[in-house]
Amino acid sequence: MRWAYAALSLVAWLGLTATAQAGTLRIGSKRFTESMILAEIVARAARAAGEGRVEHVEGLGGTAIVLAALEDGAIDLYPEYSGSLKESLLHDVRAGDADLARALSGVGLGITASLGFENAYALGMKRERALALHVTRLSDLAAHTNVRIALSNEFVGRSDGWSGLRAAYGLEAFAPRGMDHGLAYVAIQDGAADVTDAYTTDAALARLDLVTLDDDRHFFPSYRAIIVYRLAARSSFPRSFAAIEALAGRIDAPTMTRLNAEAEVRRLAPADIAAGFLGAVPSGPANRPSLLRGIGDVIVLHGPRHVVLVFLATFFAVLAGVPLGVLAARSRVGGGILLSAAGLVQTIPSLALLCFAVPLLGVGALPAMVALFVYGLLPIAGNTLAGLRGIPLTLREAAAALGLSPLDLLLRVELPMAAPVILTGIKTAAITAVGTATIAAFIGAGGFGEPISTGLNLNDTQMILEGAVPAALLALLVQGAFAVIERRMVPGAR
Amino acid sequence: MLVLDGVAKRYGEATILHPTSLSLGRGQRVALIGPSGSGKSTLIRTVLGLVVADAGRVLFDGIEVGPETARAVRRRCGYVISDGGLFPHLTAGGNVTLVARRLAWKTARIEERVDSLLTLVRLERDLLTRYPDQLSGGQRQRVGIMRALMLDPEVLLFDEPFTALDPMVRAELQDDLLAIVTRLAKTVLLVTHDLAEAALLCERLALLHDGRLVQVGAAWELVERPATPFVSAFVSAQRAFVSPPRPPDLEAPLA
Repeated sequence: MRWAYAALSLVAWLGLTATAQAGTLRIGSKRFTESMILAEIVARAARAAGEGRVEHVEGLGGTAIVLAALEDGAIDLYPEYSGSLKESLLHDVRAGDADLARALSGVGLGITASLGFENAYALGMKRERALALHVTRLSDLAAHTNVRIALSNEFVGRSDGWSGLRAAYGLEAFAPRGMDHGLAYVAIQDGAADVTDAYTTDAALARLDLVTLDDDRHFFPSYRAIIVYRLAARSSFPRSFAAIEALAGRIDAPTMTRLNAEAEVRRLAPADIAAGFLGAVPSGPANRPSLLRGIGDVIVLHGPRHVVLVFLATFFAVLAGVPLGVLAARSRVGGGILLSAAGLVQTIPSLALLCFAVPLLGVGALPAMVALFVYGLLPIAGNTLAGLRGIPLTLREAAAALGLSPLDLLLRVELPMAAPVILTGIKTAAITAVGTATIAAFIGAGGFGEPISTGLNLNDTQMILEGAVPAALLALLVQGAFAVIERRMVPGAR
Repeated sequence: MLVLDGVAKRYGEATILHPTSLSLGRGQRVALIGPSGSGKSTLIRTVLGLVVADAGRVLFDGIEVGPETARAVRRRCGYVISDGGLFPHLTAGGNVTLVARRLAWKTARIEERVDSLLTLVRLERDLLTRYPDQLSGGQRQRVGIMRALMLDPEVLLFDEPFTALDPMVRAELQDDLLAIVTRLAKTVLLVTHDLAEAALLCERLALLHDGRLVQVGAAWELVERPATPFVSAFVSAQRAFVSPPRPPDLEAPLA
């Protein structure tokens, strides 16, 4: 009982830290450098208005997730591009601005005027490769089917991305590989790919020596940078929004490219770049802590959230999974159906499951915990079933012959005998949860995944390690803790 | 005390037990003997409701054993199986006192009962803190007998209790068990395929073959007045130890 109470208190704590607090303006951003810099610039401008707390909810994922978070009120505004909004809301990237404005007000949203630049899609190709093959335009590409293309996952899925481009330029013969945008650049750098999708303000174009191929059939639509916001937030924070709207027209494309390069080439933090841009402090080279120090900071900052997420998800998975396993052992049909359902859920990739959870539960810790819980169910229920089935018939009969009540039989004899197998299931669930929780950062759940995903976006190996090393250590720690418990559970070793 | 009335059991097409009737008066000891697969184990398990008969009924002290009554009947029976049937997660003492603790017996009463059982089955007290896999086979079986006797049941059921033991330990346990059951004057149903064991521990033997009761009687009746050729075959298959002829004297001088 005391355990259950403690667990519920932890849930309450997670809920409090995850949901919007009154009087706080929450600014979201997508998982890439430019979005995070723009969000910092907006946050800084809003803070200067002095209307209340301003918070930057970093790197929430792609358009679908951030937009869902905005509509749910988990965030109040975020930097976006006109083309992405048209694609998401109207499913037509070339729709008119009036249609977009109507669609936005229909869901209680509004946008600012352009910040002053466009960040359109482009395909970037290694300069030497492009020169060797004499490719300068997208229409030249069709003739060179041996060119290797690596694309960001978002670009592959968009109608104004690969599918439209392929049709417009006759690129059906290519089989591009889809991956995280940051990883696509790594592939280019390592020579594993020749062409990738890029943004016209992308600092990586210069860093990786890529040339943008000329869009000679005018396929790529317009992507004006704007801020999309909840109308309700605008009326609650009028002065902040006045400051934000004053940013319109102040950032041109060369400026944005330079700001991006400050993050990706000079390794400055988005907050420092924003400060430099707004003229608060001259931005100098970032003073980075050593890797070891950085890992320590990450453990202190993100460790508690990660541990609580894993602990709660596993705790509730035990609470539900063990009875499920018992039920499956009692009734072949009903239990079989429940177990198959749990097995089916298990086959859904974790990122997909996390994204399913967002429309239902919003962004943050709760959907992540639910996803981790669901993943923990199968190993625990499955092992409970296996453990109970593994009890020899003679012992089961000997237990029944004692005349214990069915509940006593289960609690005093059968479950304790199955306990070692059940414990193995719990261990599997907990270790899986440690790993999956790092992915949960994509939907803003926090934890060790946060430095990992930010590091991926900034192509910053140290930052990735600062998250990855503690996550690996935690997995080892969990493994070790279970080894100790297992040893104590072997009869006679006590 | 115990009446089996036309009890029968099938598993799919296979008939394990044809309608079988047998009755035991209070304090009587009966052994169910027969080869493997003769149905004797199935029959003893119907008494506890572990196997539900397709036909016939089992009366325990006048109560028909069924889903409603099985638990009450089980509390009035002690059940001992091969190797003791101890639960590996509990100590020997934990196994013995499990049910008494669930029935909320007072600690003093439990301790008193355990003390008298230790004397009865001739087991050292320190062994009670050990787990089953830290005990010898004979010790496990003595603990199993203690567990069966804990609630002072009226009927004791033994299902091939000594098959896992080596001959010397087995003989010692058989002697001890005979002393225990004669002293307590319990009603006993014993399943074994060992005619000598059955004859030692029980006054009446019931021989089963292919799910049918072939002959019921004292050991000497089965030996001297076998009801069917199978009974004589079963009896003569249990051979007494006869020393083979002494080899020729190797030290005799060669002729």
